Formats: sequence, structure tokens, C-alpha cells
Amino acid sequence: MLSAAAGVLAVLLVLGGMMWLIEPSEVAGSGAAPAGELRGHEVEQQASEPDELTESSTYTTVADAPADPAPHGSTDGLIVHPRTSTTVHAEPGGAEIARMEPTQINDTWLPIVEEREGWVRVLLPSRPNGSTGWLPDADLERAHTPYEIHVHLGSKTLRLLSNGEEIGTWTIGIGRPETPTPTGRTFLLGSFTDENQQFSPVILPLGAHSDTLNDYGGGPGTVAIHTWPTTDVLGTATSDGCVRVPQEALDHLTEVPLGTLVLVDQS
Amino acid sequence: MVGSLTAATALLIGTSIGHATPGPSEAYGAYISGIIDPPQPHVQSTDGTTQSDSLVELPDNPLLGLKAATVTAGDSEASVELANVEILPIDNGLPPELQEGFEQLQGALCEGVPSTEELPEELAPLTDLLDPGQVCDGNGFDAPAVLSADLITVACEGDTGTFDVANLRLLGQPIDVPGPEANTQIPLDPLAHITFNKQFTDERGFTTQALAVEVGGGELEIVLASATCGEAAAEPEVPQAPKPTPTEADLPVTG
Repeated sequence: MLSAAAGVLAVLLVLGGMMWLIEPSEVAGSGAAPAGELRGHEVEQQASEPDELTESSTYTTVADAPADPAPHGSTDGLIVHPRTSTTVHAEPGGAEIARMEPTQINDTWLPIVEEREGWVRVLLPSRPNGSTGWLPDADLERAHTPYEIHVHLGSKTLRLLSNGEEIGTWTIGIGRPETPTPTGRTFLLGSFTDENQQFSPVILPLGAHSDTLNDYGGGPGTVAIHTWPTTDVLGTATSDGCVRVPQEALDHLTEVPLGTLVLVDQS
Repeated sequence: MVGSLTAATALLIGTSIGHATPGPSEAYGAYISGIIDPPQPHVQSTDGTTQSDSLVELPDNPLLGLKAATVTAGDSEASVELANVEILPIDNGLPPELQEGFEQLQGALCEGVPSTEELPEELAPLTDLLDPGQVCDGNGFDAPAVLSADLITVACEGDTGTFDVANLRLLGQPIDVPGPEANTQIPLDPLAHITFNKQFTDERGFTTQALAVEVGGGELEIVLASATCGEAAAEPEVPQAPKPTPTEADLPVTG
């Protein structure tokens, strides 16, 4: 039955020829409108300018930042870089608590610890330790780091993992009991050289701060990973909070992307 | 006759036949390459949310007419509903080139003349299907269109498709449609290829189309009611994070 109907159509199409189909006059005035446009998910507009808010950086405190819900948990290695000044929220669409700048010491890269549609929760570089905040997903560059850095204060060792496999384990120096290296989940915040701090060719500041020293040497008490001029500090608790590593460890750690998770525990 | 088509085919070669932007689920009402191109109405759902659009009539063209078209695409589902569809409307007069073939058809049916050698064999069932007494008045066909339907609906969900047509009329005379099998094809090689309830799967997903016509091996393409079911867009692959380059800074750390 349908073949009969189609046969009629075919006869008319075929026998009639199709010259008229490509006549410009036939096409002109057809009023062809553009196809329906895509309407993707749109993140709601930010309510205020980010620059009215305190910058979340290693120099600042964001008191209203929600605490890390899993201070010893791993992640899937996703990190984000804000392409522009971005407002930090206490929860998705919630109170604005700070702003995040694209560059701090280096390009800002933050680990994602939780995600909801249109939003990511990241670890913050500001005080207090274990601070997190939510960023709208609209203006973030994403990347993946296969690395994790595990710092074990009890055994005074640092393990570097890539895709879950151990790259190396090194004996390290950690903070004295009076100035302990803080535990919890933080991240590689930067990579810099400083002629005033000659103890290490490269210094790797973390998102964490000393809990006992509100400032240190004119700085905000930022905890870092770095080498030390002598090896006798390795295996001891003699620093002011920083993690002192051998040169071989630093050679590996300077390859690790910023934003990589650093998990510090008492084991 | 064939010569004129060959000439037409030659002219058609080189025209763009691409019409669908690759994407997950999508639906459109009608597409005629070069005339309703891109297709209208047309929606895509790249993120799984439901997208809809509608149109009260197609751009002016001599092939297809309809009174309402609604298209919807979502997460692994899509549908098209076309109302008062007319394929080759006769009311306003057929293009002269078609009129010639049409008159041959009238001659074959209304004058009781068996199919001529110039008419494909597929036309033969018409003499059984159509009662010339009902279809033809003294002057020939009395119908608004060669083929018309009150409602044509196609839909897909995952990798299955449905196709419904209500009150299909051939030259004005109602005919029953028991539900055509998928991919009911009318090959008129090498000139044209017609498929009802076309269903296929490609890299974009599963697609079902009420009617697809290809002329001249694909140089001209006509599609009526197309629904493609794809997956919501996969997360773009996340690039590897960069190795940092140390900067010079003055940040006293806890030593």
C-alpha cells in the first residue's frame, strides 16, 4: 500500500525532473529561519562584583568558609583554574564569602573536592586550614593531575603517587611539637624561587598554614615543601611547620602540577 | 525525460547536502536540501535537557506543506509531530515539470489505461488500491495533494522508534496504513530512493524518519519528520594539568 503511495511520489519526482528545486527564485523569499538555537545550562549571574570581596589567598583569612567535609579523603584528580576573578560562595548559589584571582604566586589551580550542577567545591589557599568554597563552573579551566602527595608525620615520610602508583617514598623533616605541621587535606599552591630563602632552590608552598604561628618571618605562616642545606634534619621533627625533603624528592615534586592534593596525616 | 533529469542531477551535484549539525538528541520537521536547509523546525539537546520548538507553516516550497509542526529533543529521546501534512500539494498548481508526470499519472488511472512503459512497476498496485470512480472526476484528480495526512508522528526512545500516521489519503482517497515496517523502501535506481519509516543508527545515535527521499544518488535529499536519540553530551576530556614553572616570589614560609 505504501509502496503504491511512494510510487506516485517517485513518479512525480522523477519524471518531472528537479530543475525547479534549485532555481534561485524558488529559494528566495522562503523565509528560512535559523534552526533552533541550543539553550544550554546557564549558571546564574553573580550578584556582586568579585573585587568588593576579600581575596582568598595565602595572605588572608576567610572566616565564613565551610570546612572540608573529608579532610583525609582522596579525589579524582580534577583541578580548576579560574580564568577571571571569581566569586567564592559558601554553598552553590549561597552567600558570597571571598573572591578568587586567576594568579596568586603562580597561576591559581585548586583541587575539586565536590561537584554539583554548575558548581565546584574547591580547597582554598586562605586561612583557616581546611577551608573550602564553591565556585560557579562557568569560567573555570579544568585539568587533571594524576599525582597525590601523602605526608605521614608519624613515620616522617613523604610518598609521591601517580595514578595510584608510588613514584617514590622519602624520609622527611617535619614541624616541631610546638610548631607542628598541620594535618588534613591541602594542595600544592605554588612553585617559586626566593633569593631571601636560600635553603631550597625551589619552594613549594601549600594551601595550609601553621596553626601555631600566625605569621612567620614577615609571611603569613604558609607551610611549604622544600629542601634544607643539611640532610641531618631528615627524619626529625625540627622545622617550624614546613616539610623538608631531600633533593631527589624535590626533583620529582617540582614536576607535579599545582593544585595537586597533599594529604597530611599522623600515620 | 531521463535526459532532463540527468541534466538536473548534474546541476544538483555540488550543492551541499549536509544539514544536521552533529549532536546528541535532535528532532526536525522537514528538510529539503537547498530549500528548507537547515531543517525547520529543528531542536537539539546537547546536555540532556528537553528542548522544543514549533512552526505553524513551512517556508514556501512546492513539495511539502503543513499546518503545525512540533519537535522535541531530550536525553535519549526525541519526537516530531506534524499536522495537516501535504506532500506535493496540488491546490496551487504543480510546477510545470511535475505537471507533465502528473498528467501521465492521471492518464494511467483516470482513463483506465494500464501503466505505461514510462511508469515504474511500483505504480501498478494503484489500479487495485484506488477506485478511479472515486479518485477521478471528469477533469482528473480532485485532491488537495498527492499524499496527505492529518497527523504524522515519529518518536524515538533509546534505540527504538515509532511511526504513526493518521488519516493518510492518496490523491484524496483515504487508505489504510497498517503500520509500515521499518525501512520500507521504494528503490527507483538509479534515479531516486524513497524510504518510509526509515530507521538507522550511526555515530550520532538512533534515528527514525517518517519519509526520506533521495534523488540522483543523494544530490537532492528530502526528509519529513526526523527524530534522533543520542546520549547526553559526554564530559569533554579533561586535559593533563601543566607542570608548573617556578616564579620569583617573596613569600617567607615556615622553614
